[in-house]
Amino acid sequence: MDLAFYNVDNGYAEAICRGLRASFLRPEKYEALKASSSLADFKTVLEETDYGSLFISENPTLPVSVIRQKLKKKLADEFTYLAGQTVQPLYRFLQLMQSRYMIDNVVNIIEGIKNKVDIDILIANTDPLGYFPEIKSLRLLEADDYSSLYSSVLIDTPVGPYFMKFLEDVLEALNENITIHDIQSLFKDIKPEFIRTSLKKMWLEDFYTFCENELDDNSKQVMLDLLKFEADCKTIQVIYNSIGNKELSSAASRSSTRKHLCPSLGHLYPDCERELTNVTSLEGLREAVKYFSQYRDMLRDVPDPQRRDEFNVDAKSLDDIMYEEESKMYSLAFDLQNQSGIFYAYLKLKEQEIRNIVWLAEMVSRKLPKTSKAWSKIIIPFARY
Amino acid sequence: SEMCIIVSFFFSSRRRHTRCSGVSWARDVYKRQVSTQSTWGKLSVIKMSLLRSQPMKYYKLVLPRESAWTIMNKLGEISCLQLVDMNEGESTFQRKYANYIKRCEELEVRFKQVEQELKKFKVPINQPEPEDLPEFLHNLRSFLQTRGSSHQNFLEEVESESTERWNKINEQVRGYDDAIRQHNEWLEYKHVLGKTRGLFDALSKEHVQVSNVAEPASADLPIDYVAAGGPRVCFLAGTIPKEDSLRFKRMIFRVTRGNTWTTLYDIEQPAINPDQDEDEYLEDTILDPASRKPVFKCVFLIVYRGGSYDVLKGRLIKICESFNAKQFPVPENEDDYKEKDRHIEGQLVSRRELLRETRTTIDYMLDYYSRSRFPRDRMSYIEELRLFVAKEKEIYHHLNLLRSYETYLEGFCWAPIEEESRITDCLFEIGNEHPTIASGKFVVEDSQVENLDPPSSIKTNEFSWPFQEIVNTYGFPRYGEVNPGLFTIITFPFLFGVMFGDIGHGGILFLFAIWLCLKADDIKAGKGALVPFLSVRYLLLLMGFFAFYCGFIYNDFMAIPWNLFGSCYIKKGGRELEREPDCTYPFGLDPRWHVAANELNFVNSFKMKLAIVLGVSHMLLGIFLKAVNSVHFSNMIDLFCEFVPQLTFMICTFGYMVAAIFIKWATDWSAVGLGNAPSIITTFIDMFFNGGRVTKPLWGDGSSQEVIQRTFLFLAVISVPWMLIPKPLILWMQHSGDGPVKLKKEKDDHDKRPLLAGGGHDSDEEGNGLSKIELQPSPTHEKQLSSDSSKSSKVKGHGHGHGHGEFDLGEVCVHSLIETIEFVLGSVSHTASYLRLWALSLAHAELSKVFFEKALADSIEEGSFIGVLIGFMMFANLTLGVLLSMDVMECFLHALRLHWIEFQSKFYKGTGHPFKPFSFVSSLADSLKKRL
Repeated sequence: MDLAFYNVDNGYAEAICRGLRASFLRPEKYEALKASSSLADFKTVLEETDYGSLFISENPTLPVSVIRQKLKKKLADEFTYLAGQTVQPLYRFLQLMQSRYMIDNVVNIIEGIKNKVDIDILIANTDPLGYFPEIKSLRLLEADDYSSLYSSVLIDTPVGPYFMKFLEDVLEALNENITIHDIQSLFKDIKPEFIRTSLKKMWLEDFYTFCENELDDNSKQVMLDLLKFEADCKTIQVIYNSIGNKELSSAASRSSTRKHLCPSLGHLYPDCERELTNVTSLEGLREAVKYFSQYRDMLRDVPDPQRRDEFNVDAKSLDDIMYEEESKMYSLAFDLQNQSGIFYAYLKLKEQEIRNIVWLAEMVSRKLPKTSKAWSKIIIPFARY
Repeated sequence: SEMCIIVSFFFSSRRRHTRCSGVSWARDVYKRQVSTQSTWGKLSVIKMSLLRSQPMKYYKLVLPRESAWTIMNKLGEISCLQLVDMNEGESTFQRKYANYIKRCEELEVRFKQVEQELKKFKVPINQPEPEDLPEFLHNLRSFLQTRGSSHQNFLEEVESESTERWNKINEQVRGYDDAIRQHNEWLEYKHVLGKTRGLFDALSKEHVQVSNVAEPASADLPIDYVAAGGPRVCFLAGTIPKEDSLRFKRMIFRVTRGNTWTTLYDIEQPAINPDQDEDEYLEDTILDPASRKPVFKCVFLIVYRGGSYDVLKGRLIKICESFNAKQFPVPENEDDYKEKDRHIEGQLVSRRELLRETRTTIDYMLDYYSRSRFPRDRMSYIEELRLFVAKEKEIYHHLNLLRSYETYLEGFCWAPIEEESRITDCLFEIGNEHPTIASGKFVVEDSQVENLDPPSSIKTNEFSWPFQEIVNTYGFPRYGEVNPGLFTIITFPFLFGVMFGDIGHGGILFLFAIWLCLKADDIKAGKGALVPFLSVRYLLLLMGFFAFYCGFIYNDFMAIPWNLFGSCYIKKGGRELEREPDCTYPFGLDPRWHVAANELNFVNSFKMKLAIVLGVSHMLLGIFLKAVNSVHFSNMIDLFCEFVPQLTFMICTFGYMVAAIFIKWATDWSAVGLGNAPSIITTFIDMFFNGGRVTKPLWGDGSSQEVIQRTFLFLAVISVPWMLIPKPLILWMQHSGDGPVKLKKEKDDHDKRPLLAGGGHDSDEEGNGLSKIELQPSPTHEKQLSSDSSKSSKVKGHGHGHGHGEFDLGEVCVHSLIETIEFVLGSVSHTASYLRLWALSLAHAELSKVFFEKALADSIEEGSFIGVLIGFMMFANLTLGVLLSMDVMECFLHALRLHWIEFQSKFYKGTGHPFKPFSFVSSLADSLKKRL
């Protein structure tokens, strides 16, 4: 029944999104981008695509960062428009998707403030997808006082609930009779990366719950599958990166930190949780996920993290492999009809496309020889599946 | 009888079709015989562009580099050739003239910026209309001619001039924006002072001793007050955009944990009419410098206790910064207020003065772009420039289609044969005008163009355009294919009329269309709601006419019959009517039928038979057109294995049915005895299921009818396998006999081409002066030809249902099977489908009857004036809304369907692509459309 009535509320937005499929760059365009000899040429090629008029009034030698910002702005505008055409619960669904980028923005700014970067530069460099008006007020952060940052700025924003939970978790670890000084020193020690991972984990779990409870059956099916895969990827990534890291691979932190960082959902949770917490080598990781052929295949060719010094630049990293697998999954999800996964897939694939363009722009501006393997390090959405 | 009229009327339309098809078909054969030999034959070819697309030739165009621009410029003006892209593999920026195009695009961006400024400062722009374009091109030409030999570098001049002017304008505009910003700031300050003034009075009355302490050195910071002996009370005042104000208030509350008191006051702004010039409201409005729209702001006043003095203040200032709120120092006493007021007033006056001056300068500068510069032109200079640049871009774009060599450019193009002399004349003219530069060469490359998939050029005028559009929506005619648009001109409105037939309704439609035709120019100038109807006015005219005409045949004026000639039925006594002997109602249906009890039986039978007769003849026309096509493409297999059996099948089944209908109509059954009249349906069921046995004969004793029916049945049955089997067999034999047909075909092409091309070339030599060019097809062109021919053969193969590539007997058989089934079943279902002619006309008649009787007739019988008035209102509205709007559309759609499916499926492939000549007028019109 959901299939039959999906269009009543969401048909228009879905149709718009489906129409936007034509805006994805085709492999020929990527070839043309690769062939361009300077950023000015690069710009000319982009002008023939859907990005068309974006750069028309720009100086021909615009820096890569401006390109990235403009591409993202365009995606954000499209997404905002799309969200304007939706009703609940789809609207909330799209908002939740944006929360992820908001988290990134917030953590980036916190990190910047810690490193004494000028706040205006930080704000100018935020991802337009995760923009919210309160972001400018983040400058109120003083002396790592996250709880007052929460109570004065973030409380009303979509990031707020996650941040509150994060603070609760952090403070819970302290014992009863604490002084204000303890809290301050605790806050000082928190690394922004840690905030990011924790917030994202919470976001992913929240998003998962939302998809499970609020979406119609078809969308649920598609979305849960995608999110499970994403969660598994995150888990594998965390474990993979912790291998060889002295601090994180001790027996104690294995159980606590890993547990804290790995999302508590996905195909690997909770079945493989025990095996995963005990992993200390790449072999062990492979062994732990051996029942999932997809993950097994993904891990087959990755370089061993314990021999980081021998990494070959041209070899595919775990990230590349995961992007590739994800791109395949999203492309499939995009083409399914009458389900909301298309919006998520659209956002993700467009992100991948922007990543590709920025990567190629970087290559072009550095004038890398065309024989370099780095040129082929792009993953073209819809190219193969 | 009235039937005779209908018969002649039917035959008249029927004959019109067959005359066209028959004669054109014959002429076609004739054309093929003569066209290669004599110029006289060529003339007849040229005249034949109604039935088919214009004959095309494939030409080679060689342009010397130095005169390429001049020649292209000329070719774009005469607009009769379509260039083929020779550099398909190359992206646009790799091409020869890419940097010119880029320059043009940069200019376009520049002009767009200028236009935005023009709009921002409300300087009037005279927009061009598509109709002005030919005149504009003429003006541009004469303008460039006055510049003498330097007319080619007008682009450079435009570039440097526009850059210079734009920089100046930009500077002034920035100055203006700055002035607005400053003005805003002072204005906001003024409002802040106005709002806070009263408040301080109130505070001081409450004896909270306020005194100034530790005045900060910089005047930007807020002035703090300390109550003597009590807690220090501090103030922070400023402005903030209205939409942020609530968030601002909330955040201040949170950050200071409620230890502040924040008040917001809206700044009132006068209501503004968007058309108003900003000069008029500038004085007391806060404007956004970018959009020149008023910004709504609030004055905020934060009162806080200065306990933890610096912390709180620092935080508040930080919040203000994060909200882009402006803070203003507040004076401490009345005297300071007065002084500040004076100061602000003075500043405001000087800013306004500055604004006014800058505005005058800008207006003067922009006025340059607002006026016309070209002689005799009326559009603004900016528009003239934009069109000029668009035209330049088009020229370079087309030059980019050519392949470039050392000193010349070479390309290929399509052009209708009849335009050939115009092109050569044009080149010749350029040679005369500019004797110093070499002129281009334009030679026939290939006159045997069928294999190259040429574009089809179909000329239309205002009259035939809507009909051709009806066909094009289904599919664009292939090159050389019979264009159904020609027949649609009559058949479409006619079938519509059969469904919509009513003297009243048809007459209204007819009159409306006549009015549209007469007043076309006025309506166009007025730009009213009727403009969209103008393009289809001739379609409406014919539709209205045929509906009107058919209304007379049905003798139906909005459900009332007209007794024009005196009915043939007279009262016999009682309720019975009797027909006067030897009396025939001269035209249309006898009005007495409308009151007869068996009216529906009679009218239905008549209309149904009429629908069958019209349908079968319409489909037969389609089948004949198939023959015309196959003869034109010299496809004898299609002619004998598809057309002949299809025609046989159609004539022997439904053709015979039509004949039977006429025989039955023409016989006076009262002489034979009414009970002996055969039912057409029963006759046919007998014919097919009882082997042609006749129970109730249509004529004579039935023995001759039995023979005829058996023969027809036999022929119809034979024609089915005839359609099915020979075609795949012949194809298979051809292929297995000669090896892969693809090779053979290509060999044929290669043998034939030089010969035929040479032939075409010979005949051209007489016509034009450019005869000294040897025909040496370049290897690249050769490659393209073969790729083209393989492409076209694919298209053709697809169209005809058998691939020329690898021969697959199974596939061909299946295809043949499908086509046969489709035709045999189709002829039954299509014939049935034509019954919609009856169904819709019945629906129309019954609807109008119901509306008339229920709305009007009842109240007339009652005799009350008010009843009639209300009834008439209802009747008029229903007639207009249901019959004249919805029913017109419904009948239109059904007529459309009959043409697309029942008629065109018999012969029409519609796989062609249109001829798009290189023309400034059309490309500039496109660029105008794109801007909207």
